[in-house]
Amino acid sequence: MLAQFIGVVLDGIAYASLLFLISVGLSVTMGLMQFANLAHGAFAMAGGYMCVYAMQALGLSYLAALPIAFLFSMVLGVILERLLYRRLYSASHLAQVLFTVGLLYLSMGLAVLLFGPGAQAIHLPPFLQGQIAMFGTQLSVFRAFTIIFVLIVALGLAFVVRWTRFGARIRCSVDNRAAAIGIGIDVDKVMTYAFALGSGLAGVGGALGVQLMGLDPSFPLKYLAYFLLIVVVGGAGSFIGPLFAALVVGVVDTAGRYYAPVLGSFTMYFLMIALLLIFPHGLVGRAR
Amino acid sequence: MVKPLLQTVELTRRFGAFTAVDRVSFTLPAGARHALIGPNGAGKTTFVNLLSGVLAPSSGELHFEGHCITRTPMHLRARMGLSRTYQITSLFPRLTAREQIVFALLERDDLGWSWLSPYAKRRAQYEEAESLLQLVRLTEEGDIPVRSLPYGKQRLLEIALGLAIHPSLLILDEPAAGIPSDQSAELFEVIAGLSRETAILFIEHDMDIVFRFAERITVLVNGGVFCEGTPADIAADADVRRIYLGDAENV
Amino acid sequence: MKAALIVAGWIAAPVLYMALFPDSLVLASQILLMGLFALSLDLLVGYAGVASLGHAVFFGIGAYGAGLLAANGWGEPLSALVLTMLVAAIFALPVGLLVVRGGSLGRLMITLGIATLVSEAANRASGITGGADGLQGMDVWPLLGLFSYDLQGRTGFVYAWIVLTLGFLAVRSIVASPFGLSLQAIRENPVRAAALGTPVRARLTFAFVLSAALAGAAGAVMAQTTQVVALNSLGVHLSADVLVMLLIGGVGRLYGGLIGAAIFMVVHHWLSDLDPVYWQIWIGLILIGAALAAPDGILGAIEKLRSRKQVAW
Repeated sequence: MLAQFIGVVLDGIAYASLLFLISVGLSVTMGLMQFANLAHGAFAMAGGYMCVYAMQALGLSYLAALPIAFLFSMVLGVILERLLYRRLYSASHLAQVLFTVGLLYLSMGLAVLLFGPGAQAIHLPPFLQGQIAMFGTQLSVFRAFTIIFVLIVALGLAFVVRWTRFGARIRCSVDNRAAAIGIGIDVDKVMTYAFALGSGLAGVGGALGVQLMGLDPSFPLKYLAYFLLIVVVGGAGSFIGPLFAALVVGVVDTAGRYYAPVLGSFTMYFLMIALLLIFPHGLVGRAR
Repeated sequence: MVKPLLQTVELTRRFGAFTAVDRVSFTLPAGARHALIGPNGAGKTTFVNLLSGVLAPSSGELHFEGHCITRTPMHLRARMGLSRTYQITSLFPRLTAREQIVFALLERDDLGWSWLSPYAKRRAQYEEAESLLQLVRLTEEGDIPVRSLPYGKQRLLEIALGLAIHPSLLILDEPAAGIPSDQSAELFEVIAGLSRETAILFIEHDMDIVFRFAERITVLVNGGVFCEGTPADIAADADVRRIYLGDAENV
Repeated sequence: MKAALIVAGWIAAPVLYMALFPDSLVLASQILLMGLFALSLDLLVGYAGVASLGHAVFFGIGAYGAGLLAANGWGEPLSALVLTMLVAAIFALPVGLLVVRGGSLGRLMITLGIATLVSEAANRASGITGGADGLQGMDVWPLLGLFSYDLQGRTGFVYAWIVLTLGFLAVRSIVASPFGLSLQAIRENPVRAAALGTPVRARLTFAFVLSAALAGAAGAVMAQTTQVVALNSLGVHLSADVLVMLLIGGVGRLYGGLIGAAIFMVVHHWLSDLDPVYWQIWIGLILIGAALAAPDGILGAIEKLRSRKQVAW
């Protein structure tokens, strides 16, 4: 009973790690620019497909495909941010919605064009297959790998945000954009770098997610509400907030599907909306 | 003694460790012409925001026409006759001057919920809007979206909007802020011509204007009332001259 | 004179259309109903300034409401229409109260969340909604007991046209009322509106309820004329589509939703015929282009061109 519960929680944490990895970039860019970006999931999907392509067509190993997914989504992010996104930073939220919905549909169409409408699968290398016994329950090696991987990335990110000059610039720009510009921070550049990093992380998340979240052309729309709710409930612009929110989503969604399968994801959505109403500015956010 | 129109009791507002308005007890009779002065950061605008309901006080009480309105939401204070204008113009950019005055009049006349007949047929409100536009000399510009009006005209419309709801108290937060001095004279002529049914509390930095129009003056310093009196009292007060007016040769 | 022409146009257009294109009435009815749906959203987004990514919830309530009534022995379409509008309005009241509290981005997110929640609930409650298979077994009685639904879709087309016309008249009169003026004032400056005595949240909530009732009407007639209801009639996808239609046409102008719906539906239909696999790419590119070239929609772009011409002269 307890072992089973621990198993569910661990599965939930693995799921949460992926959701966090994908959403954290969205949090920074939404916090920086107040941009209504509905197309963020497309960068995760791009990473997922790149990973599949690198392994199947180029014959690369899984561990080599992950950084390629990161780089691919990052480059894609830089190009789109420079060419398109930045034209709409000062536009209304409605124009931003129109633009990002267009991007969303475009990405889904391209995915069908290049990879067909079906779901993708990858073969994990042998050392990531199988189960390990833990706390009297079984955890798949891949989930453990995911959790550890994201933990390392999160610690790295925390270090960057907390201790580096770039991190200080991001925090400053999110806190008060006008003041940041006033003291000579090139907020546009900060935005490009943050967007690049965020897209890249989403790409790795998408690549890891092929196994745990599935990958097909509807991915960015299917998980749209997940990513946005995590960011908004966590508090846009923050780093810790989306981590908490992702944990809530991951664990509650997994537990909900396990213990109350009739309700599906309903439990999780319900909880997220309740949290959003109780904390309208996010768990760690502030009024603006 | 006549009941005061507005009374605050130890009104206080803190932002974190900073006390912007510090135990202000203040009384305003009906029909008053009262100026609120003080150096930058003295808490004048915060005080006005407490009066109009933009901010809630941290402690203290607020009474208007004998009712306690400390916790009353902003729109109900407006309905009771407490009106204000803003230091930074706060209008409805894509509506015309006439439309927004008609809107204010319809709200005052309790018609804001009416959703079946067109507002364009409300003759009474349109006529009253016309006379308000005349009052602030905007008849010719009445039908342009206000975002394309010059700033000075927008300041005048601010006052017309504030007046439209027939307030018993109109609070003017630096009505002449941001406009050239010849236009500010015109604006204060309009204010001086207003009926005594409306009490006026105004914040103003131009001491000429303050001493010309105010009948009483309250000096706020560091969030608290430093002193209060007639213009003559204030002009003669050595402490005020030292703290606020500085070199007061021109007073 | 101008008014008489417009009235004549509203009456002549459908008759002419039926005479000229008798074979595409089914698509035309869907365009009319999506136009009504987009128009209901325009009341909320364009006039009250409340952006929503979850408006399909109310369209879906209308569709499932009418569908469930027809599948359970209440096939009379007009009473079902009124009843489902009422249900949509009642459901919109608590939702509206929650939604109007937020800022612009917050409202988008809350409505998106609620749309996802409701569509998940409908998916799970497959015993009632038919789940992913859609609602089956509708039996809609003839309109007014006289006009049954023909295969060509003539009855459905006229029905949709009349409901759209009534909805259009309703929205037009609402936005021209003192209430409608107060919505526009709130859209422009909610704080000042409150300072002039407007109960901002109550007004916006009422606008939300009215808009939801109209969206419900569009959904109900859609269900009654097509005799099927699928899960996609209440999710995020349709919510995004209808918002996009409105934005393409231009918000706050009444006709924007109608024009946007017509363009979106025709282009959608045409592209998915032409290129059943890749049409999404083209739709995506069109939306991106529209956001960059005409962020205020087609009507906004036309207005801009006109005023530029006037200056030039």
